Amino acid sequence: MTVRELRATLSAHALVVLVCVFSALPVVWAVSTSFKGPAAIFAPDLVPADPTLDNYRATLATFPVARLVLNTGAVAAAVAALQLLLAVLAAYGLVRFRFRGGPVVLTALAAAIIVPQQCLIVPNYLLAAQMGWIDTYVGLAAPQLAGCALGVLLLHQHVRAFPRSLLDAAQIDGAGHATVLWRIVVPNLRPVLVALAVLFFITSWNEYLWPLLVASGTERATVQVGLQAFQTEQGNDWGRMMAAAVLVTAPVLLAYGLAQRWIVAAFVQGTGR
Amino acid sequence: MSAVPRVGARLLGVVKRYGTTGVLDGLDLEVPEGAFMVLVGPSGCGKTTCLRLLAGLEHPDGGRVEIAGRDVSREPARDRDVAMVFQDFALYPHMTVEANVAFGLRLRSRRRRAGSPDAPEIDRRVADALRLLELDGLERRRPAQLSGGQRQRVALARAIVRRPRLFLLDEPLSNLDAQLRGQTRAELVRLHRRLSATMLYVTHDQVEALSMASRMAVMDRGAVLQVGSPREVYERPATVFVARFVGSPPMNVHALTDRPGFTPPVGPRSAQVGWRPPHGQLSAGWAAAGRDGLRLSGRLDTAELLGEDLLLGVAGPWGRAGLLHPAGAPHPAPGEPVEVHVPRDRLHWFDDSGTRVGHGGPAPPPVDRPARAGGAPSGP
Amino acid sequence: MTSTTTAAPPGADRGSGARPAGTGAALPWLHVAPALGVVVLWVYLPLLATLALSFFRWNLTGDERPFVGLDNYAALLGDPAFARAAGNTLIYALGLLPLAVLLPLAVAILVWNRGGRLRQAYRTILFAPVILPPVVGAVMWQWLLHPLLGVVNLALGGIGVGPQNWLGDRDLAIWSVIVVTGWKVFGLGFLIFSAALSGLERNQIEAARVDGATEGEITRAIVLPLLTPTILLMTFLTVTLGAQWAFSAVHVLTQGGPAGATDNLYYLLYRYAFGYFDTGTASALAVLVFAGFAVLALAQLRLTDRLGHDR
Repeated sequence: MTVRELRATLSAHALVVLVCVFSALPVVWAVSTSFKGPAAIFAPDLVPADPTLDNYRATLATFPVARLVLNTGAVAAAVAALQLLLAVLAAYGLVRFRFRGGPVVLTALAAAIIVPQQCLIVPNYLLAAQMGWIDTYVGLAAPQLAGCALGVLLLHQHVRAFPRSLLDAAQIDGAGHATVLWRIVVPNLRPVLVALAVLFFITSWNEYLWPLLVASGTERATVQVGLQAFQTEQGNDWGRMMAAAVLVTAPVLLAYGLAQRWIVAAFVQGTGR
Repeated sequence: MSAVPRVGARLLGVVKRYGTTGVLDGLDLEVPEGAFMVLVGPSGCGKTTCLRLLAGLEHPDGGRVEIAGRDVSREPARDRDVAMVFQDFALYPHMTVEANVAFGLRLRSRRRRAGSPDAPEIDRRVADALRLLELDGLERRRPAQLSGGQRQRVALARAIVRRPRLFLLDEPLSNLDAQLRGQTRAELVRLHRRLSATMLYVTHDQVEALSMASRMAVMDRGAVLQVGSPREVYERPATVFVARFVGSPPMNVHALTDRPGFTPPVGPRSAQVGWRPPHGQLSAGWAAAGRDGLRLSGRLDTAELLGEDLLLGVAGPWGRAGLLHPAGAPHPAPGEPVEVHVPRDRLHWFDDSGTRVGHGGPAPPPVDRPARAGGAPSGP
Repeated sequence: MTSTTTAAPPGADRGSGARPAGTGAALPWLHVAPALGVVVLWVYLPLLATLALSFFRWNLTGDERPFVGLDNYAALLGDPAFARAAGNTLIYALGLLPLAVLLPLAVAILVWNRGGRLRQAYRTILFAPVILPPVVGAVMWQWLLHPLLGVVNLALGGIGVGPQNWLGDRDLAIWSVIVVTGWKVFGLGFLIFSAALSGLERNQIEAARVDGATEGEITRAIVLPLLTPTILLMTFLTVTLGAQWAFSAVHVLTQGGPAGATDNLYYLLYRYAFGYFDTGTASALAVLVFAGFAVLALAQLRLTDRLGHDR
């Protein structure tokens, strides 16, 4: 490697590391702050001089971390699973059966993706209220299912590219449509479906506006709504605030740390070509 | 061959359109029971559509599809008791070899059809099929871990394990390399004999048709042009198209002309005359044949070595022709004038529309009996 | 799956012709109905309801709901908050471009080109903010940007710059929110560009390298042109969705303040609907936002289509 090349590589790494610092700083600083006592909180030390667990003790006493994480995770898992199911069925139906109305359905689903959520919240809230779904898991999850439209669009491409002879062979082997779909098509689209499931889960996990409206009570609150409520209560106790933020972040980051190779690869490969 | 073979499968006046373009328009085709029938034609001629209609993967817009004497036109593929081997083999990538072969049987037994085998019976039949195709030991592999030839045999095993009434094979050899293709042709014929099953084999390769078929049908543009034994089709092609399509190098066909260098035989004749490349002789034969037959004079254009023989290309004002010539024998150099002679009894006669009217001479037989045409002894 | 146990109608398969009369015409609809149902129920019907509600005055719960024609629209257009929010929406859309498109593109190319063994580690760190719930990120940033105790001001103090009121200053606040939003979406752009890069044919790049091109020349002459469709896509997404992405950050950090400096149309809509409970005006705003959004999206789609085809 020439000196010039080495310098280019080093400066490239320097820039990327700088951006990494930018990306990681909020979390790192939150962790640092969460271990600082009231006196040390003003100190700009990254590693607390006198680390304490007081913030965590105090926070855990009033902040229902487990409840929030479970609420959010359960809803996100259910939403992702259902969205995947709806998307698989619809994509298969649109490709496998050529029927009048199919193209219109596809266009309607595609157009729905770009409608801003904020434009729909008033009627959706009214509908959820009418159904008695305010402060329920069903109310939290139901409107999110409309996000399956994106999945239909993505899967449509993959189902269409599915080798026709495999479908024919399965039919001749005696498979009906259900068998073809679940035993031939789905197993062979697994990488795409995994990527889509991850995408759906993250999207639902990060959903904010709708939970804010329908899950303001602590029973059903999601991570974000709960944290925001905690912030309103706690005012300026930044040590506790950061402890709470770290507590709700930890499960996500842990899961991400364990599966990151996989999640990133699902995106890079699943959408790359 | 018995006089009236039982019918294994039949298309009757079948009409099939895609959108507004018709692919088949009133097509009839019979596959005798127990036959190894090869349906051959150029790509896009509708042969694969015929296969898919019999399989139940497509349904006719008109006419009937019968299997073993029963009208199955409206039955889905899974109720027809047919098996199919696909060009790309269509093995399920996520299943092992064993699961691929057993898939159809397991689906059937799960639905508890009458006569469907139980689990131990399935295992036994799968093992038999794998052994028959020399796949034992590969049961746990997935298709991606197999060679092309192995995949092809798994596809065959998947078909035979079901013991279907009808086997459909869609160009199953076209994805194999040349050497393997040759071997597999013989194996398929052996397999057919052993199973004594009815098979319909679709290909665009006339060599496969001639070498494997017990009966063959030639298709072009959605119509069956000729059905017969390979020998019949080769020796008495029903049309100019069949004559040129079957046999390699292809038959030479000339429209009768007054151009210099073209001397047709005296006596009865019709609009077009054809001859196969092995039957042309360089000038020497002219006098010996009693000046009866077709005489062409032109220049030698090309000489391609085919092994034992050379394929000589001759060009003249009347057109072009190819003839085989022993590779060791002397022949003119390219550019030199040559004379070609074809004995009268080697000539095939066709009318303006390309329909066969006769074979050799001296008297072309009546036009309405083309299949049995020809007073002269047929070729070798 | 009720649909899946019914017998398959042979004619229903793609590419096949005559369908046996009376069988299975419903089968395709059974497959698409669930997806179509939720989309109609939660997108299209609400869209129509919004249009209807925009002609009434209503407070979301009251019994009185008089028809007021276009009054809500008139009131909205006369509200200075609307003009300010509209202007800010544009600032969000364009202001996010460097953090959502340019920087991710540059970093993705650097990591792809020279990341070496650290490539996977970089990807893991850079994508992490995407999976962090936005409110959590915003709360963390709120602490970083705290006017008195925030580490940003402490660090700036170290190099002699006085403390800034990042979220309270009228001129600074919107840019602070943009940075916080950009921090969150940077990883998404980075990953999409990484995906596009990993899909490139190495042959072309290696051919250029054999021809003696430098890395810079290769990037300019080969990589960037090949990435054009992806760059256009990310630009399209950012311009169209930028102000929506900022929603959580605005709500947590500034609630649209100070004095509307960080407001945007989506946040204004939320405030009309669930702050002032002015359902009619909120609906009128939703209709206007949707119309503007649709026009913008269509225009951009056409533009990216044309630009994409030129390449």
